[in-house]
Amino acid sequence: MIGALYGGSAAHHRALHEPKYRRLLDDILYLPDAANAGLGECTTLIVPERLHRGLLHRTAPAIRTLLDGGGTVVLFGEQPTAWLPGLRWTHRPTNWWWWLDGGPAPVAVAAPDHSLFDRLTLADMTWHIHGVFDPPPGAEVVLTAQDGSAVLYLDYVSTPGTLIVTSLDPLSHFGSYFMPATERFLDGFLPWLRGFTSGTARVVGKA
Amino acid sequence: MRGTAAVAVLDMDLRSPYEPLEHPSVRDLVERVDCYDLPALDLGRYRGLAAEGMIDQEFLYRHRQLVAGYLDRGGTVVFGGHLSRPWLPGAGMFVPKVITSFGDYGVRIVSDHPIFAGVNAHDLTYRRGVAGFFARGHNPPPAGAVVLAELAGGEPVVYLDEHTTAGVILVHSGYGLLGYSTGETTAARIAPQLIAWVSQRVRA
Repeated sequence: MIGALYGGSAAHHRALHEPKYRRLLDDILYLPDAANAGLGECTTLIVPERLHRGLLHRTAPAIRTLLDGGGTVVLFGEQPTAWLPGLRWTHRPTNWWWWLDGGPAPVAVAAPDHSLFDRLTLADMTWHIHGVFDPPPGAEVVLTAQDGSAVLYLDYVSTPGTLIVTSLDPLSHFGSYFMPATERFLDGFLPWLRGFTSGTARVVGKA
Repeated sequence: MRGTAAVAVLDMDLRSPYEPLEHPSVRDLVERVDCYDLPALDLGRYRGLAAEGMIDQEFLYRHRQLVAGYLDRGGTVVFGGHLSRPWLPGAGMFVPKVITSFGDYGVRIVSDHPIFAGVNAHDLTYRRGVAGFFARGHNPPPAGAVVLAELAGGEPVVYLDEHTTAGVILVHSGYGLLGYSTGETTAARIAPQLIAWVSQRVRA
């Protein structure tokens, strides 16, 4: 059962209630309620970017319980505090204008055989980044910045569950009617996640 | 010092600096307040209450009577964003604009108002030659509201409503006007002029 935290912003509201995405979500959990009442029956949880940090940290014990039970948690966006196991974040100033300045794209593929690329192309994952991660040993890095730092990784080692961590921030941009790549990302990522968590997607790194 | 600022700005991430509100032209007149502290806030100490961008509108909807009460006492509410929940008196839910060319993002200033004094609409339409930052749709205004700025198709993207309540409601359908305090163009005049206008407005 896939749930998504909802922080109450217009952008989250649009992204999570867009019909083609809503039908792929079993539950939408308003963060202030989840901080008090927990995560219900969810075994997979999507944590959108730019949630209120205080409330998110109050929800952390319930998210740890989900991971300890073998569940899957997807983290989008900046993670300046190590509020879940294995998170090591480095902020990077955002170059919003690389496409105008003729610079290199902000991200590169690290694992071209990963099942995510059954659903997504690099172009679908390319808009900008706000930072990178230093993943724990054993994590599977799928997408990096141009210097090789991790932008999207899967961590099967820090908890009994699976942490899918990316500094990409598709929900707030799609939800704000910005950046067409973010819609293509969500079009591919959410069906992939359903397949991944139901065991029908190819899992490369998980023996 | 808490409670001495003119405008309380509701905020979702007080731990992170927000550069536009640190600018010398506005920083002494605004106070960032955690959104979830709204019920405990003595709103009577502020000339204005602002909510912009990624603010939790579900929470504002649950506490809409606080906003309505503040307006009934003559307060000024500044909203910048896509209205996604009906918490703001008179304002309609966000209507995205169907875009067929970048020209659709063109902004026109259509009423004289102190917050747009000296502002060139071209600086609202374009950032580094790219259009679309100022607004991508509109929050429909109520009857009697004064439209201050619109898109090329006539969509009202900034309006002032002094009729729906005893107070004043200023609505921008982009990410919010308080972000316009930095940069080298005339757009940076907006936030300081907006804060000054709220601070100096004499209550009816």
